[in-house]
Order: sequence, then C-alpha cells, then structure tokens
Amino acid sequence: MADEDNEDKKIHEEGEEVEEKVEEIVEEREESPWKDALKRRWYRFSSNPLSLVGLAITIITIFLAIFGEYIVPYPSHGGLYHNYDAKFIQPFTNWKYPLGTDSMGRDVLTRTILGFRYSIRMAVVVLSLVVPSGVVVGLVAGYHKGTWIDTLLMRISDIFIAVPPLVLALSITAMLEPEPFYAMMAVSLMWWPWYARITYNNVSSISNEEFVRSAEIMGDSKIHIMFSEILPNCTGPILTKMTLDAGWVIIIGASLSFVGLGAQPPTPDLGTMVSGGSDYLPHHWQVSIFPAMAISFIILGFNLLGDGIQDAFEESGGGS
Amino acid sequence: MAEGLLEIKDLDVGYKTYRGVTSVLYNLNLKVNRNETIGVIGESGCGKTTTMKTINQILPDNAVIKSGEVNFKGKDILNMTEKELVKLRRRNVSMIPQDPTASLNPLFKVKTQMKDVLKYSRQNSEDLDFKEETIKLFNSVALSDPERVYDSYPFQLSGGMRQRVCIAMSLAAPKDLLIADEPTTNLDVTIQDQVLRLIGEILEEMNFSAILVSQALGLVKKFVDKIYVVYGGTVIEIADTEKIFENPIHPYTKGLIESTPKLTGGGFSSGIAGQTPDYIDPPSGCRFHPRCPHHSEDCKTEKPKMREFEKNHYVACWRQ
Amino acid sequence: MAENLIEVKNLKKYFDMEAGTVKAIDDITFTIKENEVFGLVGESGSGKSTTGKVLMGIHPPTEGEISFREHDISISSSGRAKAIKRDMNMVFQDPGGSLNPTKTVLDIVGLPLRIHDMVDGKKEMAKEVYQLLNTVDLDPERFMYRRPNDLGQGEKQAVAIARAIATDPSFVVLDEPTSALDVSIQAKIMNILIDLQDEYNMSYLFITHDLGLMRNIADRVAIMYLGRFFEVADSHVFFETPLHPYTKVLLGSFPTTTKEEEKLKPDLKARGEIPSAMDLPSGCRFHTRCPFKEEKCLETEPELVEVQEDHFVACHLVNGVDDVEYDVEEVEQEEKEFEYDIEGIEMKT
Repeated sequence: MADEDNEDKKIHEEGEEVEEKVEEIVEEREESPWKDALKRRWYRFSSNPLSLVGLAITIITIFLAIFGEYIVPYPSHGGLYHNYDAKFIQPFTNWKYPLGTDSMGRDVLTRTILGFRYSIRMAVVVLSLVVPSGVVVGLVAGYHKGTWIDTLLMRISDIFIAVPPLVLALSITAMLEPEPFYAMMAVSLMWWPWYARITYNNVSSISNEEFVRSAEIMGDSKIHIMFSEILPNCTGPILTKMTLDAGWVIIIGASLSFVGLGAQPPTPDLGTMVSGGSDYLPHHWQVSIFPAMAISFIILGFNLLGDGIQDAFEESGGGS
Repeated sequence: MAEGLLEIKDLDVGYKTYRGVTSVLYNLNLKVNRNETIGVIGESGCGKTTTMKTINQILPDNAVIKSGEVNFKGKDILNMTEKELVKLRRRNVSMIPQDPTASLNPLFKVKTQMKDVLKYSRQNSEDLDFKEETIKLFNSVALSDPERVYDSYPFQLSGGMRQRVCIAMSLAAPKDLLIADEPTTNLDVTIQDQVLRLIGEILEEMNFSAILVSQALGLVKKFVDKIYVVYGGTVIEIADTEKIFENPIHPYTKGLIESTPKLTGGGFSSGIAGQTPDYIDPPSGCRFHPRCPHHSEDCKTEKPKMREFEKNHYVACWRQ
Repeated sequence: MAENLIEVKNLKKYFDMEAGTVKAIDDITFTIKENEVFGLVGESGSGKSTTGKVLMGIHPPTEGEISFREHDISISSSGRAKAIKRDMNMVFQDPGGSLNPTKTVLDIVGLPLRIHDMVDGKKEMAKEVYQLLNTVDLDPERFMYRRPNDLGQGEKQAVAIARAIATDPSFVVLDEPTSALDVSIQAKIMNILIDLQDEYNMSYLFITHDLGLMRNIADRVAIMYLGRFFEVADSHVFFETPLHPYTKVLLGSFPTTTKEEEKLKPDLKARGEIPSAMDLPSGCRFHTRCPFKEEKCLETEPELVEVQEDHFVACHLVNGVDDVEYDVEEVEQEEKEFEYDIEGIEMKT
C-alpha cells in the first residue's frame, strides 16, 4: 500500500516537474513567436542592397505622407494661397523657395511633399478594399478546385479582369463626378480579381501538399484548413504583389488626376500638379517636373521593396 | 604496382551560402588505378557528389575549390584550360547521371541527342553512320526495341529505359574512366538490379576504370574491387570489398552496416545518433566525433590520419 | 485469435484519366488484425500507396467494402465519423511535404489534439506535445518551437510520427515512412515505430518497397503487383519459403550485405519493367516478366488461393507448398546463356 502511495506521489511530482518546464518554455518563447522566421527573412531581404534602398524610400514616402504638413515650410501653400509677386521663381535660385514656385507663387517643394499624402491614400484605400476580397475568393475557389464553387467564382472574376481598370475608372468618374472617391471605387472593382487569381494559383498547388491531406484525414474543419493551414503559405506572393501594386495604383491615380478626373485643384495632388504644370513647359519646368519625379520616386521605392520581399519569401534549398 | 589513373590529393571544396562559406570536402584523398573499379559509399550530404563534380569540373557557380590536386593521368585537372577540360569530358571521363530524366533534354528526340554525343566524342565522326552506331550501342545496353527508342522523345520512355539511354551515351566513345553517381536511386529494385548488372557486365567487358557512387553498401559490392567510405567530406575507411563487410573498423562503417536492414530479420540496430555535420561550422578534429559512441579527447582536437590496419585496409580513426 | 480491426473486401480503385482508366487497385481482399503490423510490398505503380490512401479516406473506393471495427468506412474521410478519424492516422513518405512549413512543431503535433478537443488551451497542448516529443526521442526543449525547415529529415519524420500517435489511435498507415531517410537515421525511426506499436497496442499498415525493412517489422506481408495481391503470408514464411515467382524475383533483386542473407535469396534475376496500369496484360498480369509463363497464364487470371494455412498465392503454377510446377535452376541456366551484346560495339581509339 505504502509503495503504491509512493509511486503515485512520484508520478505526481514528475507531472509537476514537466508542467513547470513546459510553462517555462512556453512563456519564454510565446513572447516572440515570429522572431526566428523574421530574422531569416530579414537576412534574405537585406542581402540585396537595392531592397534596402526600396525600403528606405518607402519609409520616407510614408513618413512624408503622414507628417508632411508639419515639416513643410509653407503649409498654407497647399490650398488656394496666391502671391503673384513670387510666381515662377526658377528652382535653385532663391533659398526661400529651393524648388521654385508655380503660377500662383506657391512653393513647389511644399506642394510636392503634401502631394505624397494623396497618392498614398489612394494606394491604401484601394489595396485595403481589394486584397481581402480577392484573397478570400481565391482561397475558397482554390481549395475547392474542380468543383462548381471554383468554376463560379473564377468565371466571375474573369469577367472583371477583362475590363482595364483605368478605362473603367475613366468612364465612371466621367459619368458621375470627377472625384477621387469614385476613382478609387472604380479601380478597386477591377482590381480584386488579380488577387483572386494569384491566391487561387498558390492555393490550388498548396492544397495538394501532404500537410493539407494530413489535416483533412485528421478531421480538421474546412475553414481552419483554408485560413490557418493554407493561407499563411501564400503570404509571400500576396505581399509581393501588394507592394508592386501600390506603385501601380498610384500611377493610375496620377493618370486620372492628369486628365482631370481625379483630385481637383487646388488639392496638391501629384498627378494634378503635373497636369497643371505642363501648360508652362518648358520654361517653368519646375512646376510639373518635380511632382513627376516624386511619383517616380514613390513607385521606384515600392518596386524595389517588392523585389526584396519576393527574395525574402523565396524558399530556396541552397548549400551542398 | 598498379598504374594510377586518377589521384585526388587533399581536396578541400566548399560552397558560398548566405551563412558563409561551407567546408564540404575536407582533405579528401582518393585514388583509382587503371582497370580498377572503386565504390564510394556515403550518406546524403557527405560530399560524394561534390567530389564527382570536381573531377569533371562541373561544380555550380557558388563552389569554391580551396586547395588540393586532382591528377588525371599525371595532369592536374584543377589547372586545366577550358579547352583541355572539354577534351577531358569528351574523350576521357564519362558520367552516368543520378537522374536520367533531368539529363536528357525533353525537347529533342533520343536520336538527335545520341547523334550529338557521337559527333563530339568520336574522332573522324564525319563519315559515321549515326543510326547504325546508335542502334549498336542500344543493343549493347539491352534496350528492347532499339528502333522505337531511337525515334522517341525521352518522356515516351520509362525510367529504366532512360537510364539505359544515358549509359549508352556514356559508352559512345572509349573512355578511361566511368563515373556512375548513384545511377539507380530513382529506379525500382527490380530495375535497379538490372541496370547495375548491366553496368557490371560493361565494366568487366571493357576494362574501364570506374567509380560507382552509392548510398547503400550492399548495392555496389558485387561490382567493385575496393570501397571508400566517405563521411563529412573526407575518406574514413578504405578496404577491399570483402574485407569491409567482414571486418569493418571505423565506427561509422560499422554503424552503416549494422543499420542496413537484413533479410534474415533480427530487428534494427540503434542506428547512428545525430545528424550529418553542418558544413558551415563542422566539428573539430574527427568530423564523426559528435556521433561516435567511442570518441575521446583526441578525436575532438585532431583529425585522425589514415593508417594501415592490415594489408589493403586503411582506416582514419584514433581508436586502436 | 486476435480480432479483426480492418476488413477489406473486393476493394477496387480506378482513376479516370484523359488517356484511359488506371486500375490502381483491382480487387483485393484482406484483413488487418488488432495489434498487428500488416506489410504491403511492391514496386512503384503497384497500387500499394493508393491502398493506404483509400483506407485513410483520401480517395473514396470505386467498389468494395472497408470496415473498421465493423463500422463501414468505404467513403472518403469527410464523410467519416469524427471518432473514427481520431482512431486512425497516417505517416506520409515525404516528411517535408507532410509538415506545414509555416507552423512550429508545437502547432503541428498539437493539431490533432485541438481538432478532437483533447486539450484545453495552449499550455495544456504544450504539455501533451512535450510528452509526445519525448516518446519519439526528440528533446522537447530544443524542438518545440522550431519550424520544419530547421529540422533534419529524420527529425521531421519523428515529428510526423508524434503527430500520428497524438490521439492514441488504434490504426496507423505508414506509407514508406523511411524511404527519404539515410540508413543510419532510418534504423532509429524504425526502432521508434516498433516500440510505439508495442506500447500503444496499435495496428500498422506498413507500406514499403524495401524487403529488408519489411522483414524486420511486419507480422504478415502481402506482395502487390499492378493492383493485385500475388502472395500473402506470415512474415517468416513469406521470406523463407516464398512461392510466387514475383516474390522470388523481388527477393532476388534485393541488395544484401551478409552471407546469411545470400542464402535466402532465390537465384532469379529480374527482367523487364512493370507494365502500365492503364493497359493491363491479359491473363496473369505478371506473365510479361515471368520466366515460367505457360499457355494458361496468358489466358486466365489466377485467383488468390490458400495453399497452406494462412499462406495465399495467386499463380497457376503453384498448387501447394510441395506442388510447384516451375524450376528456378532451369531458368538460371537459360539466363547464363543470354548475354549482353557488349562486344558488338567497336572501340575506335
């Protein structure tokens, strides 16, 4: 009897020991569950200096978009301000207006920096509408590949893909009112199928992996398999596409503004500024060229960053 | 004294990876005499394929040959010009690949690929009847229906047939040395047996020198005179084939033989603990010491020299 | 007499492809007893993997019945009761592909526990996983938070095994669990599998092409060729007195390391390759590669008959243990006369 008691006690003690140990491990590691994976991704990302340049540019862009109005020399120049005495000052001639002034005497540097916000806002709004919807459609269709769900969802997305987003945005904004909000909606409507497509392709190949089979035979629910087992394996391509697309959306936004269907003057929108300034080319080139350069700068940043993200997520074997 | 054909001396080779330069081959020594067939045995990642690629100078771009000599007929391959290397590959050394599917171009018919091989490896190839020669070669590798194979694309052939075509290619011209790098890993046992018997007959008939590389000890034992056991990029035991099975000395060789499951039953040995070494930071001294059940302090500090245990039986181990 | 755990009756699985119908499993009947390791051996394309997948419900059967402790499970896994799914699991061939690369070992091994509500919260799961990793010889402190990419092949397979036994199942399908591993690591994994089977009273369906492995783990062995069983027997009978010519050919091709093994090897060399499962040969499906084929082998398909107790063979030429109508030595003589035409090539130097 005593022996049995002892044994029970021993088992109990062992159990407690394990419990303590487990708690230790769990607590220590749960604090930073993503650390290792991030470290490796960062290594691959940073092995290409151009990716770092892209990251730097993007950070500057986002910083200017958020805090632009607090650092510009003349915040009031973003609106209807005019000072005809100071109009068309050539750049690099007057330290008060380093990049010169426009037809109303407004500082080009100030307006260009303020323009970042409108471009980024366009990208953020469009992507946050487009990515979740496209990804969910692609995920559901890809996991049910070969069934009627797949056919239905993917054929619908094909219909939307057939219309070029810029053309649709042009017609919608022309029909309704030339307002940035409609432009964003129109672009989003045509853009989500691309995310459906890229997710679909990834998901349908990942669905054939044995770890998905394994989850299925163990009785895992479809929702959990799709969102927890499959989706995390698609983040690389989706993130890459998002970054590259941010640049594209900004170009489209700028194009709409350029033809007068986006933001209206006096909004300091980069596309509108390029358009307005083009009237004064070539003599007063600063008015359109500096905003145009800013657009290129933003897009270059997103593209380099996108390449870097792609590198970071590439699972290569490497080595011997 | 047998005449040496190929002699590898103190070869060190590594690969550049994102974690640094690896040290895969480490003081590797190997010698093939004329008319001698040796077997190179080792598990995946032990550097056997790297060695074979060094002999033919077909290492990938990120490989670094740090030091050593590879003397072929008295000339160092590592110092050869590109022209000499081409000649070496065409006329002196032929290779039977590991994966016949990957080494045949899927876009061209077998006849075109055989013609290229014959054209470049034979002298006076202008007045050669390529078809006749090819069929002759196909007969020699016991390909059934050689006419059909001649006019097929690689994907129309089975795995065994593709490997026979590759063997026929390697026989297209007389060579001094035949390297078969795990020629049967992707084939079924029954096909594996047939292909190996074919290679064995060819070796016997043609008086080639040959290196048969394999993961499994049992596989090549019928066909080779001498066995080199490789671990961690260095040779750890050399012996006549019979001797290595009767009296293995190195703990790794012993473990390998014991781990091979036997038809006679008797369960499994405990295997060899641990994993193959990390070549970025390989173990000091004897590279096997972290997995060795008998290791002592000496093993950790100094690499054991190859010593003669008995006639034609050498071993690199501190243990007496 | 041990109870039957799995009963399979006239199972067929056909796949419709563009080029025709592949008869991956073509009418097989067998049982797996409680606490037994049933081995399934064959070349690639024999249908052995498909058999495992049909039992697990990855593919629904085309025809035939499968029952698990008298419950009908002749359907795909999504239609099976949750309790049955908990009671069976599988270890796949490729340890890399069967583990989700974005998850940690803790989440991977804990997944079946979470699915079947066997743990409450992450900590409790961690506790269970800790024990499970110990049983497969992985140090939990080192491995719990690693991801599959940081593991060696053998470690990955150990994780897959821990996951398979997490719910304490009665039946595990092992589909070539060690074919991607080195010999030295294979031995360790096999030992773990053997110990676990003993400890947890599980039944295995062990699928492999490696006869050496089979000899050391299986209680009973079935040999499969183009979707059919050719011979089923207790392991020692199967290896010591094989009767079907194909069994002998396969044994004859096995690379051996010791002299004792040589004695067990029939002196019968393999010839030809496995025909396409889309275009099966007439009569006995092995006749294209059989050295002993006769007229009747080309015409009728032999049935699997019990030639002695618990020893089944499907061959026209085998009517009993002592009544075998073919002679290996005779063929051996013929084989010697057939030589490769190597001298045929002229060697111009």
